[in-house]
Amino acid sequence: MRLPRRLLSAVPSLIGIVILTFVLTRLLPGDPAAYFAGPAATPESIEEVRVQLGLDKSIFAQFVDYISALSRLDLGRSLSSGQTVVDDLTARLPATLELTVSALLLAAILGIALGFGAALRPGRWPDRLCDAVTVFGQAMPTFFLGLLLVYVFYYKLEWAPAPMGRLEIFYSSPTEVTGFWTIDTLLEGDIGAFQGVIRQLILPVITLALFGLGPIASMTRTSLLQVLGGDSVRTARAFGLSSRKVLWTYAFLPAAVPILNTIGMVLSFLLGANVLVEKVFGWPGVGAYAIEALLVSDFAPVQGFVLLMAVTYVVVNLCIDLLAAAIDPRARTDG
Amino acid sequence: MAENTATLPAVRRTHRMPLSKRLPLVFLALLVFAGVFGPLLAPYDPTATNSSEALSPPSLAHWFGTDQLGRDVFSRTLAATRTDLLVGAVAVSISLVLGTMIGALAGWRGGRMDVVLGRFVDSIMAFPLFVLAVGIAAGLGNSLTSVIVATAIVNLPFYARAVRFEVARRRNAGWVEAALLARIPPVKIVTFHILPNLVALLATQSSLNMGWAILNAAGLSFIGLGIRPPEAEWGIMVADGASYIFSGEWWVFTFPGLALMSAVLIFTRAGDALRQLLDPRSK
Amino acid sequence: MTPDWTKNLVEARNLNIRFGSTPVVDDISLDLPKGRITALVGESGSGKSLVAHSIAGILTPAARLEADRLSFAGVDLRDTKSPGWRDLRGRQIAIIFQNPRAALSPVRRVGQQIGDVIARHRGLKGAELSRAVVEALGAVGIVDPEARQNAYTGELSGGMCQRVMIALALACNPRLLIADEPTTGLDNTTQAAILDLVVDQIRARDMSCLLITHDLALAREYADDICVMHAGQIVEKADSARIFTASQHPYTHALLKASASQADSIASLEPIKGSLPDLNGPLPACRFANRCPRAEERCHSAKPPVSGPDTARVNCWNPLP
Repeated sequence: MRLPRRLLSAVPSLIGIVILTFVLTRLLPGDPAAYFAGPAATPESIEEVRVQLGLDKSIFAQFVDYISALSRLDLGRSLSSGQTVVDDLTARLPATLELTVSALLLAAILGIALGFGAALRPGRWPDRLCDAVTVFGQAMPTFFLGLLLVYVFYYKLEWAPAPMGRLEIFYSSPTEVTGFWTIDTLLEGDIGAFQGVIRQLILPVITLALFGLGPIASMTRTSLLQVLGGDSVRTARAFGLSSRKVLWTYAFLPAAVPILNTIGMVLSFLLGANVLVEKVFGWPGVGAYAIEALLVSDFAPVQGFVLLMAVTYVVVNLCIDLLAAAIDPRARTDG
Repeated sequence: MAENTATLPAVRRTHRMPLSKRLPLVFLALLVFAGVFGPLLAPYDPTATNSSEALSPPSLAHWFGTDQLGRDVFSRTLAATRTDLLVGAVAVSISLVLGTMIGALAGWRGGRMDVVLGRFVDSIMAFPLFVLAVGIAAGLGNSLTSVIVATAIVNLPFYARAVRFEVARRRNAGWVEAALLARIPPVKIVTFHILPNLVALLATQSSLNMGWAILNAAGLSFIGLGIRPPEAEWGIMVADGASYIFSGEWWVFTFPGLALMSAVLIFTRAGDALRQLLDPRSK
Repeated sequence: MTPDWTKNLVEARNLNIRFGSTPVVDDISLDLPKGRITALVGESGSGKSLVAHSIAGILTPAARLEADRLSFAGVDLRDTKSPGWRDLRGRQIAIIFQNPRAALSPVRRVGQQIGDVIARHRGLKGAELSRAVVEALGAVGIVDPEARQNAYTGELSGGMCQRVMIALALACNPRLLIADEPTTGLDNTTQAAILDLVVDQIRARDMSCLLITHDLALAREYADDICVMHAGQIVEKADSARIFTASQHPYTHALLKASASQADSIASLEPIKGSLPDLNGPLPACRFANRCPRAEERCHSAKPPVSGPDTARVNCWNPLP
C-alpha cells in the first residue's frame, strides 16, 4: 500500500530529469546539424545530417523521438568508440559504482563514528575534529586532494601503486560476474589480485570519502545531540537501561533519518566528484568516459552519462526513503 | 556586583563578535584585494615563458617555483585570483537574480505558476549538481560562458527556494493587502517592500555560494571545460601541474590548489560569519 | 550496598542543587516514608522537579548536586556510578513525566519499550517476556493490550501514552513512584482518570509516591502529606488535611487564597504579590521575605528555624498562629 506511493513519488523527478536532459541536447548554439556534419560539409550533407538526426521535425516530434528511443534504452552511439552509448556505459558503470559505493560506505562509517564522538563529548577533541573535518571537507577541491595523496603516497613514500586504473597490469583482471572487482577476484580465489584491487582503490576512495565525510559527521552530531538532550533518552536512563541500549536503541535510531537523508545528499556530491577523481586516478569509469567524449564534442555519451547519474541518484534516494520509513514510523506518515 | 557578571557576557556575545569570528571577513577583504590588484602586484608577467628556467623549485626569485614553460607560479596564482573570483561572482550574480525572480514569481502568484516553477527547480535538484554542470557546459559548447552559465544554473535552486518561501509567507500579510488596495503594482511591492527584508539572507547565501561556485568552475576547468590555457586559472594550473607529480615537481600543482582551497574556505567561513553578524539570533 | 527496607525510602539532608553559581535548590531536607503519597507543591521554577530528578538520578549534567545525605533505603544516591544504584533505577525507583509522548521513544513499539525495562530488571526472555509486557499494559487499564503493544506513540492519544508510561513505571513493581506533573497537558477528564489509576495502583501495590505538582487542590485530593516549596526552599510540610485547615507559613497561606477551589467567589481570589525572586541576584535568607506580609528584619538575614511536630512542620520566623 505504502510502497507504490513511494515509488510514484519518484516519477515527477524522473520526468524532470528526462525533460532537462532533452533540453541539454538542444542548447548548443547555432545549427546542430551543421555542427555534427563537420566543418567541411556542403549544404546538402548538412541537410542529410539534419534529416538523419531528426532535426528537421518539430521540437515536439523530436521530443517524442527522444522518449521512444529512451524507452528502447537507446541513448545513441558514441562517435569516438563506435559502440552504442548503453553498451559503453554498462561496461564502465561497475568501476564507477565500486568506487562510489566504497567511498560512501567509508564516509558513512567514519562520519557517523565521528559525529557520535562529537555528540558524546561536546566541546572536546572529537567535537573539534568533527568541526575541522567538516570545514576542511567542504573547502578542499577533490581533484587537488587526490593529487596531493598521489604525490605523497605514490611518489614520495611509494606506499601506493601508480594511479592508473583498477588493477596494475601484471595482474590478470578477473572475469566479470558482479563487476565489482573486489568481489570478482575473491570469487576466482585470486587473493593476490584482490589485494591489488584493494591497493588501487584505497587512495581514490579516501579522496572521495574525505569529501563526503563532513556533512555526515555534522548531521550525526546535530541529530544525536538533539535526541540525547530529549525526554525519551532521559526516560531510558531513568529506568536503568544499559548505556549501550540507551545509545543505540533510544538515541541513535530516532536520530537516524536525518543522517540517512544526509547520506543521500552526500551521494549526489560523490557522483559529481567522481568525474574529477576518475580523471585523477585514471579510473576507467563512466565519468572518465564522459569527459573523454566531451572533449572531442561527442555529445551522446555525455548525455547518457548525465541521465544515468541522475537516475542513479533518484533510485538511491528512493531506497533511502524506504529504509527511513522502515526505521522510523514518523517517516511513514508524510505524503 | 558579582551577581551581575553572570548575565552580562551573554548580552555582550550577541552584539560583539570574537576576533576568531571576524577573521574570515578580514581574509575576505584581502582576497578581494588580491583579486582586484593581483595582476598589478605580480612580480612577473603571468604569461611570460622562459624555457631556461622551466620547472625550477621555489626559490627567492620564484617563491612558488616555475612551471613547465618557466612561468612564475606565484605570479600566475596571484593573477588567477581575478579570473576565479570573477567567474564565481558573475555566476553567483546570475543565480541570485534569476533565482530571486523565479522564487518571487512562484511565491507571489502561487497556484499553477508555483507548481510549474517548483517542478523546474526540483528537476535541477534531482541531478547530482556537478554532473548537471558538466552536462550544461557540454551542451552549451566548450567556452567560458558555458562554465559560468552551468555554475549559475546549478546554484539557482537555493535562491529560488529561499525567496519563494519568504515571499509566499508575506504574500497575505495585512500591509500587502493594503498596498494592493492602494493600487501599488505587485512588482513594486515585491521589489521595494518584500525583497529588502531578505537582503541579509541572500547576502549570507551568496557568500557561501561563492565558495561552491568557485569550486564548481575550477572543477570544470580542471577537466578541460571553459577557460583555456595560457590563461591563468587555479583549476587549469592544477591540471597542468598534475603531469609533473610523477617527476616530483610538486610546486606546480600544489600552490594553485592551496590558493583555490583557501579561497573556498574564506568564502564559506565568511558566509557563516556574515550570518552571525546580520542575524544574531541564529545559533 | 544492598537496600535496607526498614529505613525510610528516601532520606535527603541539606540537599543543594546549583547551576553554575545559581542556587536553584537551597538546603532542603525531606523524608519519604513507606506507603505514603507525598506531594511536592510549588510554582513552576520552585525547584520541585529538580528534587524529583535528583532522586531518580536524571539531573542534567549542568546541575551540581551537594547533600549531606541523599539515600534510598540506605543506598547512597549521590554515587551515580555504583552498580547498586544502577540496579535500583527502574527496578525500585520509577518515574513518570509530564509529557508522556516525548518521554517515550517514537521509533520503538510501546511493548518493546516496556519489554526493554522488564528484560533489564527481571531478566525475562521470549514468551515469558511478552506475557509480562501484555500483563503490564493490562494492569493500567489498556483495552486489548495484545494489539496495543505493537503501537508507536505517534498512533496513541496523550492519555493513552501516559497509561503506557505508567505501565512502564509499574512493570517491575518498584517501591517508589515519582510522578512529575503527570497530568499537565491532559484534558480534565483524562487527568482524573490517570490520577485515580496511579493512586489505585500505588495503594494496591503498597508503594510510596512522590507527586510533583503545582496544583494544591490536586495535591490535597490525592496526597497524604504535602510539602510546599518556594524558590528552592521547603517552607512547610504537613499532612494534607492540616495544610488546608491550619497552614502556618505565609506563602502556603497566600497560595491557598490564590487557588480557586479555596475562594468563596472570584472576587475573593487574591494573587500572590510579586514573583519568584531572581535566583541570580542577592537573596534574602528566607527567599519569600520580599513577598511576605509578615516579614521581619531577621527573615532577610538569618535562615528561618524549623518548628512544629513531624505532621506540621514549618520553616518560618513568624508563622501564622
